Amino acid sequence: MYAIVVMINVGIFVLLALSLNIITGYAGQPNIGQGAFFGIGAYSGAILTGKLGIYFWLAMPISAIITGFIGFFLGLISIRIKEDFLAIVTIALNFIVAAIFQNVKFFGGSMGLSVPSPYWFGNPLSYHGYLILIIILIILVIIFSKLIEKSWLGMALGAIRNNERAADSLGIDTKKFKIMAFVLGTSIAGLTGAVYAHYMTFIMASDFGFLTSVSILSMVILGGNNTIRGPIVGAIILGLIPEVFRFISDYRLLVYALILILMIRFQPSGLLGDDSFVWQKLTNLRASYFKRRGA
Amino acid sequence: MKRKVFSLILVVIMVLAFNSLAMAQDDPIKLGFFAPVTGPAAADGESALNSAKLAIEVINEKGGIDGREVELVNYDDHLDSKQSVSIAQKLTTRDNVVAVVSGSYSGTTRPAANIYQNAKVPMISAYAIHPDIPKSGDYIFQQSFPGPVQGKVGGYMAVDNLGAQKIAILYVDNDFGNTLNDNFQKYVEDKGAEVVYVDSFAIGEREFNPVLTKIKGLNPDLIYVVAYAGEGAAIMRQSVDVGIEAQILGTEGMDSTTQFLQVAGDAAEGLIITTNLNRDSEEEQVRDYINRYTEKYGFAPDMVGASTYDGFMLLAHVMRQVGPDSEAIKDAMYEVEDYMTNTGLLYRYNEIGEAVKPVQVQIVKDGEFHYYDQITDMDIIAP
Repeated sequence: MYAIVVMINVGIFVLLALSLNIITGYAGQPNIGQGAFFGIGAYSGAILTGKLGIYFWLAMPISAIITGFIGFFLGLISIRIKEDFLAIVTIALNFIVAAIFQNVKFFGGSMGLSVPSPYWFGNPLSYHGYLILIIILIILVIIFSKLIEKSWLGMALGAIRNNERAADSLGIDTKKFKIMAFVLGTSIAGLTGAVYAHYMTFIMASDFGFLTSVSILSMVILGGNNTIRGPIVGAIILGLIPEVFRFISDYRLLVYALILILMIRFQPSGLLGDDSFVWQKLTNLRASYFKRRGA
Repeated sequence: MKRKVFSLILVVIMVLAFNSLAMAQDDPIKLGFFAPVTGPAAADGESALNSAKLAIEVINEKGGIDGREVELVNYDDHLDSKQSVSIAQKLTTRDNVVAVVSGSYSGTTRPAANIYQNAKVPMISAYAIHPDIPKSGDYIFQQSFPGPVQGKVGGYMAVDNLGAQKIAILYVDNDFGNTLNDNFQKYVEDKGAEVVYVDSFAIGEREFNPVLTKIKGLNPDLIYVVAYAGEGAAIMRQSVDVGIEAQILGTEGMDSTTQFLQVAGDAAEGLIITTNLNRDSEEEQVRDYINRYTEKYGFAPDMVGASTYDGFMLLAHVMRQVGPDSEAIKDAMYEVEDYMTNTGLLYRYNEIGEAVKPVQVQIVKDGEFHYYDQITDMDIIAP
C-alpha cells in the first residue's frame, strides 16, 4: 500500500510536470504559477462534488474546464507582458489564489475543505483505483503531448519559443497559439487538482502555494524542458527524493537543493534534454546499434 | 556418522526455532510518530519529537509494556500533507505500528487520520485541534481540548474572571485562530461585553504597530491575542512600544519557552494565557517530565511537547491494561477515566474521541509561566 501511495504522489507530479511542459516547454513561456492552477482544479473539484453533489467523474472534466478558463486569462496577460515580467505575474498569481482560498468562507477559508470519496460501481475508489486512473491520465497526456508536437500548434509554438517576433512576421497568429498553450497546460493541471483533492480527502490553501509551483518547475527543468521524457523523469526523481532520503531526515532538503544546483550548473538543458550528456550518449548508443544491425 | 550429522542439524534447527520464538516475544512494540521537524513549523516539530523520544525512554525505563520494549518509529512530514499521507501508509503497512501519535498540525493530521481510521490503527492527535480530526472515525482521538473549549475558556477568563467590558481581538488566520476567535466572541458577547475591534493576521506576520496603535486609540480593557510564538512575541514587544496598558490574554499558541518567552523578554510580563501545561503543578510526574526534559535538551518544555508526551504515556497506560493490540487499545481509550497527564487530569474521551479535561490558565511572572487558575467547570470545558 505504501508503494502505491508513493506512486500516486509521483504520478500526480508527473501529470503536473507534463502540463507545465506545454507552457514552458512547447510555448517557451515562463510560468512559476502552475501550483495555483493545480489548486484551482482541486478546489473546483472539491466544491463540485462536496457542495454541489456532482459525480466525481463529471466533476473532473468540469474542473479542467474551469481551470482552463482561468488559464485563458493568464494567456491574455501573456500577450501584453513578456518574459521576466510574465514570470513575476505568475509568481503573484500563486499568492492571489492562495489568499482567496484562505480568506473566502465559501472555499472553506482557513479551515480547509473536506472532500467526499468518489465511487466506482458502488464502491469507494480505492488507492489501486486512483493509481490506475492516474496512469490512464498520464498515458492520455503523453499521447496528447505527442499530438501537439506533431501538429500545427506544436510547430507554431516552436516558432514562438525560438523567436516570437520572427514568428509574427511569418504570419503565425502568436496570440492565438500562446493562449491555446496556456489553456491546455492549465486545464491539465486543473484535472490533476481535482483528482488530487479527492485522493487526499482534505485540502487547505497552503497545499497549493508558491513552493508547489517551484517544485513543478524544478521537475520540468531537472528532467529536460521541451521534451516529454524530461518532465516525467524529473517528476519521478524529485517526487521520490523525500521518500527515498527519509533516512537522512534533516539533510533531505540539502540533497534536494544540491541536486538542483549541480544540474543547473552542469546540465542546463536537463537530465534528458536534447543537449544533455545522458541523452547524447543514449542517442549515440542507439545510432551505433542500428548501424551495426544495418551492416 | 550420518545419524550424527542429522541430529546435529536437528539441534541447530531447534535452537534456531526456539530463538526465533523467543525473538518474536521480545520484539519491540512499535509506536508511530510524525511531526514537521523540517519546514515552516520546525520549532514545534522538534519540540514534539524531543518529547516523543523522552516518552519512549521513560516507558522503557519503567519496564516497557509487560517486559517488552517500546520502539519509536518517527518520520518528518515537512508540514506537507502529501508526505503525511504517505507516512501514514508507511506506518500502517510497512512498519506495522500498533498505534500512532501525531505531533503535527491540522493540515497534515486531518488527511492522514482517514488512513489510520481505514487501517484500524488508533491515532492520537497531540495538539492539532481541527474539529474534523476526531470526527474522522472511532480510531482517532484528540489529546488536547478542542478549539471551541479553549475559546470559551478565554471568554470566561476575559469577562467573568478579569471583568473586561471592552475587548479587542487579534487572531491568526488559520483553523486554530478562527475556531478560538469565533467561540471567544460568542461567549463574551453573550455575557454582554463589547468587542470593539477584531482583526486577523497571517502566520509569519511580524509588524503589528499600526494595528496596535489603532487598538490603543479604542482603549479596550483587554486584548485577546490568538497567535503562535513568533507573532505573539512581536505583538507583546510592540504593544509595550506603543504604550498599551490593557491586560493581554493569550492562548496555548504562545506557550513556548524558547520561541516566545526568550524573544518577548520583559514585554511578556503579566500576560495571561489559556493552555494545557501547568508549570507549577505539584504532581510528581509533571515535575519529573519538566526536569528530565530540561536536563536532556537544555531548555524547558512547552505545551506542544507536553501534549505529545501525554499521547505516548496514555498509549502505554492503555497497553499495560489490554496489551499491544490496536483494536483493544481503541476500545480501552474510551474507558479511560480520570487519568493524570502532564496536561491536567484527563476526565475521559467523549464518544467522538475529544478529550474532556480542565483548562490551565498561566501567567508570566519574572520571565516564566506560573499557575494563575484552572478551569474545571463542566459547563465550559465539556466539548
